[in-house]
Amino acid sequence: MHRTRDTPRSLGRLPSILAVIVSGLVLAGCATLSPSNSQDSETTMTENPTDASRANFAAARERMEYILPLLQAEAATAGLDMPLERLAEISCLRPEIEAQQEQTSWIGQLAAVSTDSAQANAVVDAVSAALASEGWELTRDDDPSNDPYTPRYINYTKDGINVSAKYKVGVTDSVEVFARTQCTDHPRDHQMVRSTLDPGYGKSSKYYPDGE
Amino acid sequence: MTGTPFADTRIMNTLVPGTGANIGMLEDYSTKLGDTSGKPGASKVSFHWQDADFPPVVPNNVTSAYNEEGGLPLAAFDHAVDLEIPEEVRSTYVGYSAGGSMLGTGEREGLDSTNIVHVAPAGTGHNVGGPEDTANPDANRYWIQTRDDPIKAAQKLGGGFHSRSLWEGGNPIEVMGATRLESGFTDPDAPSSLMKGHLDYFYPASTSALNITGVVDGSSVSLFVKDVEHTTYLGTKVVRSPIEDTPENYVNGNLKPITTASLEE
Repeated sequence: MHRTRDTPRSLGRLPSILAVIVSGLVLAGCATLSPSNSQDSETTMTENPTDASRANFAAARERMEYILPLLQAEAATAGLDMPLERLAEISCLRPEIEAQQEQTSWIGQLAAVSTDSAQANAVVDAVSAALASEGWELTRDDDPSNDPYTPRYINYTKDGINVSAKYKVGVTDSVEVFARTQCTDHPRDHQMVRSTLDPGYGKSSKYYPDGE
Repeated sequence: MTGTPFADTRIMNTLVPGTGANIGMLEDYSTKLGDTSGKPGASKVSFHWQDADFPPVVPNNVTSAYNEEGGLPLAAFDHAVDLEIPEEVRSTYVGYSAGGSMLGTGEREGLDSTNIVHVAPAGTGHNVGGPEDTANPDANRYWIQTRDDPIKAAQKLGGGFHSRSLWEGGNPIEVMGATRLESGFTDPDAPSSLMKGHLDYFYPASTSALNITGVVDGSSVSLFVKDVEHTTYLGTKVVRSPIEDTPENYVNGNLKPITTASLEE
C-alpha cells in the first residue's frame, strides 16, 4: 500500500538559501556523531592499564572458563539446560574506531527459556549458592516478592569479574547468567580472542583469529 | 536470522541498522541483534534487515532518498514475514539512527508491528508526522536516546527529509507519542558508566540494550529519568538531570523496572 504524500508546498517554496542553511546546521550537528564527546562513558569504566590489571585481565579468561561451565552444571542439576551463548573478549570501543583491540573486556553468557517459575527460581538459587561456595562476594540481591514482573536478580564479584543471574517474566520467561570484566586498555598489537567454549569459535570473524 | 518462523512463533523482532551499515558490518550488527533479542528460543525469530543501501556517512543522508529507497522493501519484508508467523505474534522493529527514519518510512508504506523502538532516530520517517501516517497507528512506541546525542540536531532540523516537515521536526515523543526509556549505563552497576553519545545503545547488558530486550520480550523496562527544574535563590530557573548529577542513585537496581504490559494497556 503506497501512501506517500507530497512534500508540503510551503517547503517547496522555501528560498534555496534557507535549505542550504538548514542542511549546514544538520550536518554540523550530526558531524559530532564521532566519538569525541562520548568517549567518556567508556574510559570511566576502564581500569588503569597497569601491569597488575593486564595480568588480571589475562587470567580472566581462565577464571571464566572455569566458573561458567560450573554454573552451567549447577543449573542443569536444578533442572534447566542453559547453553553457553558466548564466552569471548569484546571491544569496549566505538565501532568506527579501527583498533578495536585497544580496549576490551571478557564477557560470558548462559541463557535459557524457562516455563516454570519454581524451576527458574531454583536455578537462580543454585547459581547463587555455587558462587558463594566458590568465595564470590554477593553485591546485589533483588527479590521481587511482591511483583512477579520485577526480574529476580543477583550479582556476585570476585577478582575483577562480575557475575549476575536474572530470571525475568515476559511473553517467554528466561533465565540468564552474565559475566563480565571491566574494560582494560591494551597495546596496539593486542589480539582479541574467544574461548574454545564459545559457540562461535572457528567461525569466520574479522576480530578473532580462530575463524581464519 | 536467528530462529525459524513457524506457526508457533510468539515473538518476532527485527533490527534496522544505521549510518555506515554495509556488508562488512554484518558481523557487528548480527552481534547487536543478539545483544538485544534476549534468549533465542523455539518460539522466537529475530532478523537483522539490511536489504537496502544505507548512507555511508551522515552528510550523505541530508536527503530523503535513503528513506524512500529503503522504506518500501522494508514494508515488503514485513508483509513476507507476516505470511510465515501467526497474526497475534508480539512483533518489534528497532530502528537505529538513519535506520530509524527508514523504519518510519517503511511504516508509512505498510509495515505493521506491535512495537516500534526508535533508537536515536534521524527522524520519524519521511512524510510521517504522527501515528496516523503509519500502517498501525495503535503500535506501542518507545524511544531511547542519550541526553547529549547529537542526532537531536537532525530531529530538529532534518524534518523535511526524515519526518513530515521542516517545521514539525522528528522528536519521537512530540510527533509519535512515544514513551521514552532510559539509556542508562553501559554497566548498570557502575555509576561511572553513564551512557553518552550515539554509539553505545547495543552494548551487551547495558541499560539501553536491556530496555530494548524488555520491549522485545514483553517483560520489563526502565523509564527515562526526567530532568528536574530548580529555582535558584535569585529566582532563576535551572534544569538539572538527576541521573547525571547523582548517577550512584540509579545503579544496582535503582532504576526501577516497569512492565511493558502496564505501558501498553
